This record gives sequence, C-alpha cells and structure tokens, in this order.
Amino acid sequence: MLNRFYHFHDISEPLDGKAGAGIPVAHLVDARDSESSRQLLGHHYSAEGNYPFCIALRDPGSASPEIVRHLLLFFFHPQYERSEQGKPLFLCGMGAEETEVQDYLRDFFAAQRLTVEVTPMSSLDPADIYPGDGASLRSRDPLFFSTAVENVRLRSECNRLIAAQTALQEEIGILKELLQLSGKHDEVSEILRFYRNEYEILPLWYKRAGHVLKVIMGKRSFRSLYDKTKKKYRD
Amino acid sequence: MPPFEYAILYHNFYDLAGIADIRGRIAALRDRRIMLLCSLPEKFAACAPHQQDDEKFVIMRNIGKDIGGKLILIHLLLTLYSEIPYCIFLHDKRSYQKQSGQFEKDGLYKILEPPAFRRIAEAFRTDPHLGIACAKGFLKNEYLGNGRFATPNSQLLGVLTAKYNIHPPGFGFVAGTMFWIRTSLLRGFFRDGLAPEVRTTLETGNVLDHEHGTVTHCWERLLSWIATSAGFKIKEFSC
Repeated sequence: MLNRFYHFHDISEPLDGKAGAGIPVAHLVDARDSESSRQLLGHHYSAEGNYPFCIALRDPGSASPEIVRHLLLFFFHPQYERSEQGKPLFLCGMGAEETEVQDYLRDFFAAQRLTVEVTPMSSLDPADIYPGDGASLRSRDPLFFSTAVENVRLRSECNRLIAAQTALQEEIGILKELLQLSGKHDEVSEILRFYRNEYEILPLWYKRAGHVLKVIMGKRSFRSLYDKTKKKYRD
Repeated sequence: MPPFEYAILYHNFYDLAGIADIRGRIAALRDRRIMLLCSLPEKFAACAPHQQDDEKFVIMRNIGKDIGGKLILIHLLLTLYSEIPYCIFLHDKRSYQKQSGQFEKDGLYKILEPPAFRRIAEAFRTDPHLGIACAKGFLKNEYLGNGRFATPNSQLLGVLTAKYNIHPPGFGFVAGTMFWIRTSLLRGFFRDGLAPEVRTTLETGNVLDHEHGTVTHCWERLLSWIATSAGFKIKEFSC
C-alpha cells in the first residue's frame, strides 16, 4: 500500500529546497529547543511557509510546556498535514511501546478539543520517509511518485469534503436556531413600543421645536423643514 | 520596512467575503502598518488564503464562537508578534436572531473607519491610562450591586472573576467584543499560554446566553475587565 511520505528536515539545518517539491516536509524538532521551534513557527506564519508540513518531535517525554504551546499553533496552520480522519498528524520520535507519552500528548491536545493523530516514528513504513529531494524521486520512479501524490491528494480532498460537510451541517443548525429565536423575540414590536414611549407621546409643538433644534445643530437640512422632496438627513 | 503598529485580530466564520471586506477597510487606512491575524472555521481549510508578511491565518473548530477564535489569535500574537503595541478585535457578526444585527455591526466597525482610527490612535499615544477604546453606545454595565449582574451569566461571572483574579473597580464592558486594546494588557494577563487554556473551557457550536449563562459570554465581559482591573480605563469614541 502506498503511504504518505515526507521529507525529513532537521530544523537545525537549512531546508535546501525541500519545501514546495510536492512532498510534505516533516520538521524534526528537538523537544527541549523552544527557540528553534519558535523560529520555525515564525517561518510557517510567513510568506515562505505556505507548503504542507507536519511536526516530528524528538524525545517528546522532555517537551517543555512552551514547546507544547508552540505545537498548538502549528496544528492551527492551514497547511498542516492531516490524517485520513482529518486529524493533525504528529510524529513522535519514540518507540511504539512508549504509550504513556503518547497518552499524555493525546490528553493534552484533547483538552484543547484537538484530536491529534500521534504516530511513533518507529511505526512509519520506510516508504513514508524520503530524505532526498522530490525531483530525484520523481525521475527515479515516476509512476510511484505520481500515484502516491495522487493518492494523498484524493484522500485529503475526500477528508476536506467530509470536514466541510460537517461544518456546513453545524452552520445550518446554528442558522435554524437563530431564526427560531428571531421568531420568538419580536424585536420590531419592542422598537416600536420604545419609539412610542420615548417620542410619539410627546406634544406636537415639542416635537416640532425638536426638528428646528436639529437644523440648528446641523443634524437636519433646513430646506427639508418646508420641502418634502429634499433630503432630510445625511446617510 | 517599518514595524507593525497595529494588529487586527479578526474571527471570520460565515463567508470568505468577510476577509475581502476587512482588507478593503485596511486599505482605506493607507499608510498605517497593520497586521491582520484571522481565524477561520474548518470549512475553509482547503481555501484558506496563504500566509503573508502582513496577513496570518489559522483554521480551527468552532469553539466559543468569536471569543474562541480571538483567544487563539491572542496566543499567536503574543508568541510571534508581541511587540505590536495595539490590537483591534473584530469578527463577522451577523446576529440572525435580531433585525438590528447589521445596524449593531456597522456601529461596532466604526472603530476602523479612518477618522475614528486617527482619533483613537492619537488617544492611545497621549493617554497612558487608556486601555480600551470602542465605538460610542457599546459600553454597557450590568452590575446590580452585591455581586449580582443583570444577565443570565451573573453567577458564572462571580466564579470566573474569582478564578482568574479579575477584580475591576467598575463593571463596564464593551458589548460585541470589538474594540482596541493595548497589547501589553493581553501580555500581562495571558501569560504562560493562558489564552488556549481558557479556550478549552468555552462551549462548542452555537452558544447563546438568553436562557442560561455561558463561559463564552462571560469572557465577552472579562476581556474588557482585564484592562480595568489592571487600572486602565475604557473610553467610547463617537465616529
């Protein structure tokens, strides 16, 4: 089976054209180096950072709270890679048996109402990891490359449509609820009642004096006092 | 390139045309250095605009309506751009439950119109005690005395002000959550990643407070009280 595959990029090294080669970049982040992860965050939230990527965290057991807070902002990035279930992909540099760390990370992100697909790096299929540049893979095995790219594209399009359907259903629900509420709450009657009590019940001579006062204050045009075709108020 | 002076924290839920609208409003401000930070729901994941030097986008689930989006944008602002001195909260308010929704939105958006923008920017520069600026008519106060408020959120407000140690001298707040605020106030309050932590406490989906109080609607008030409890004032600007 063809899997997703990535360029692995150690963030202490230059990107060297890995970005934009048609293969998502998995940035290898050291869990103790919060400054580098902040710089990477700045890179992705800039004009140069518009390419698909995910985070692979080395030694997640020693992740500082600051790193975990940075991770959150990566996951909210529109170009962050998602699994087939639409969850942000998150690779951890640990063995599959380190379930405690996986559980900790899952719980942390669940508290953010963010379901993250935590994948131990050791469980990746070797076909997932691609250290070279996209051009050489394309020339060496063009059929594999194009099939894999198309496979990933179609799966992500499918996920996107499912997510969009869910979001639109939620929006329909919201609009229905708001319109129902609008029907219950007669705002027009409330405004008319307010208008009657605050203005209409005043004596006519007082209201007319009020209109003259508006002209003096520059809130109403003078000609509109005697010419109904003239515009009364500025928009 | 001169540094950014203002950050607009904008939650766009309904339609991507909202972003074009905000871009138009920013363009009308001409020579101002403004960064747009925008949160979008997941339905826009595939068509989200690209990151630019002056535009940043995040995609997230609908949690806590615009307040949830603004909290993540605050987190982004404080993590990467905390040196921008002023920020402006906005969202694409629709209020389908009220005929006056558009009228209210037009009033709230006046803080971004060039004449008001100039006056507010000048007021922030000259008055060091000014913490929040909003459009005239949106500063509300529901306090009844004895720790009670004229809103279904009353009880919850008591709990949350104690939990987050927010004790303002008065209880005026900007209804609609569209206002200018000094970034230093957000930096002082939302330390150590508090903004995303608060977001985890907000309700999901559509959140209304006409019958029961909600944490989301409490934060509509608490965001203003962050400034007043730090000794700063809120001022309305007629536009």
